[in-house]
Amino acid sequence: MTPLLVLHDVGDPGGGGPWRVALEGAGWSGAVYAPDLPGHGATPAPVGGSYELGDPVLAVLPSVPADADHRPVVLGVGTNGWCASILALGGRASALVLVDGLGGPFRPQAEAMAAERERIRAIADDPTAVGPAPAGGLDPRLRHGVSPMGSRAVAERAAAATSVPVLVLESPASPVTPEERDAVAGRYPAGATVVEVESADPDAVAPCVVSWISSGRPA
Amino acid sequence: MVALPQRDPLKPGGGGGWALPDSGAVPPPEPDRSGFVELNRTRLRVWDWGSPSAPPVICVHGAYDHGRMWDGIAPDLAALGYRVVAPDLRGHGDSGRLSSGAAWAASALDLGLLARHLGPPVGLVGHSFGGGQALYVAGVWPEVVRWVVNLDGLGPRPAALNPPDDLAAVTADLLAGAERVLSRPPRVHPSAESLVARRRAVNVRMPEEWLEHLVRHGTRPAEGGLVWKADPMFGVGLPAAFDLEALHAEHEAVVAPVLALTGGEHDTWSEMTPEELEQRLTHLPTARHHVVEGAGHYVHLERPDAVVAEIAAFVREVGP
Repeated sequence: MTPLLVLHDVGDPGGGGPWRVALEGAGWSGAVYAPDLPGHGATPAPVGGSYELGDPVLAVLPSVPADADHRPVVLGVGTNGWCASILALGGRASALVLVDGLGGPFRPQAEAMAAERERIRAIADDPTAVGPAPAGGLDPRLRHGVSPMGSRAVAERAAAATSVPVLVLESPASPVTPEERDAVAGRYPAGATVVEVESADPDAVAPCVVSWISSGRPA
Repeated sequence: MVALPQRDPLKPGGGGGWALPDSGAVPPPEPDRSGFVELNRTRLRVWDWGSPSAPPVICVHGAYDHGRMWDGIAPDLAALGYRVVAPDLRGHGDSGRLSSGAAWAASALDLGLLARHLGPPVGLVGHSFGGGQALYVAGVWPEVVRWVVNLDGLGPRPAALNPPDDLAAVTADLLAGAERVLSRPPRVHPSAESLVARRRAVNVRMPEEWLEHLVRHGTRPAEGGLVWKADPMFGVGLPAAFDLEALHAEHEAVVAPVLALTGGEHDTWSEMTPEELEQRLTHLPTARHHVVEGAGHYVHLERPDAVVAEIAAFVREVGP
C-alpha cells in the first residue's frame, strides 16, 4: 500500500503518534509517517521559535519523494490541511485527505488581518510565547495558533488546481459551513469524496481513510 | 550594548583576506554603539547612535540588507535629538536565523518588542520591506508608534499581488526552490568585488560607495570566499492568501502620522506608476507623500540630505 504522510493539527498535544497508531490499527498496510511537527511532542521548536501557516511543509519536505512512483497519500488535519494541499498542488502527493482541512474560517481580508493583528499582540503579551521555547512537549506559543487559510477564493483556486483524488472528512467542529464545504470541494477537477464524521479524532477518521483507499478510489 | 570592535576583517587592512581594494571612498562613520538584544526567541544585532536617553527612533532596513545601511543618515537623525537604533532583522546581518521564509509576523513581533525594550513611543523609519514592516508594526501596536517614515516601502505593484494563473506549476517551482535552500549550503562567492558587481547589476542606481559598504557589512568569510549574511531561507515562499485587499487592510490600520518618500527616478524595485502610487496612498489616510527628485529606490542613500530635511520638517509638524 502507498505510504501515508500525516500532518497533525497545529497545537495538537498528541502530535503524530495517535494518528500512526489509529491508521495502522484500522488496517493501513503501508508505511505511516506521522511526525511530531516542530514544537509538538518530541520535536523541538523551530529555529527562531515562531510558527506560520506553511511551515510544516518545510519541516517534512526533505522526506517527501518527488518522483511519481513514491509519492505518499498526504493527510492534513485542521489548519494543516492547507499544508497538505500545498504538497498536493506541488506534485508531492498521490492523493489528498483533508480532515476539517479545507481552510477557514473564511472571512473578508480586513477581518482576517484584524484577527492576525490581535494574534500578534497576544503573543507579544504572553511571556511563555516569547520566552525560551521548551525542550520538548507542546510549545506554549502554539496556544496562539497560526493565521489560517482564511480566503475562500484562494481555497477554491487551490482546489481547482489539484489533480489528485481527494477525500474530504468534515466533523461538526469544522470551521467551514456546509455551503462553503460544498463550494470548495466542488472545485476539485475530479470531484472529491465528502464524508461527514462524528469527530476529527484519529480513531474516528482512520477507518474512513483506509476504507477509501481500499475501495480503490485513488488512482 | 557593547563597544564596537576596532578591526573589521572585511575592511582594507582589517586582516580578513577578502577586503575590497581601497576605492578612495570615505566610509560613513561607525555607529556610536553596537550590541545584541535577546527577544522573541531570537538574537538581534542592533546598531545605535545618539544619546541613550533621547526619544528612540528605530530604522528598519529592507529585504536582504542590514542595519549598516543607516550609517549615512543615522548621525543626522541623532542630531535632531533622537536615539537611533537600527537592528539587523532576523534572518539578516548578524541576527538570528530563520526556519522558514514566512518571517513577516515574527519580524514585526521583534520590532514591537524592541520598541518596548527601548521605551515607547518610538518613531519608525523603514525602507522597502522595512517600510512595510514599520507600517505593519504601527497598525498592530498604535500605542507604541509615534510616527512612521516610509521610504519607498508601500508594497509591490498591484499586478504582483494577483494570484498566479497556474497555481500548480508555481507551487511545484516554490517547493523545488525550498528544497534547494534546505539541502544546500549558502553559495560561496570568490571575492567582494564579485558581490559588488552582483549588487550593482540589481541596484542599478546605487552609489558605488554604498555598494561597497553594503557588501562589506553584509557578508562574512567562508571557506573559499564570502557568503551573504542574509539567510537564504528568507527567499523561500509558499502559496498564501495575501493580496492587494490584505495590503490595503494593513495600511488602513495605521493611525500614526506617516511620511511617505519615494524617488522621482525610475529604478528597479520601485516600479509603481504615479497612478498606482496615488491609489495606494488613498488607503493610508494619515500619510503625506513627497517625491524626492534625483533618487530611485534607495532614496536615503542617493539623497540623504533631502531625506533628513523631509524628516526634520515632518517631526516639526507632528511632534517628536
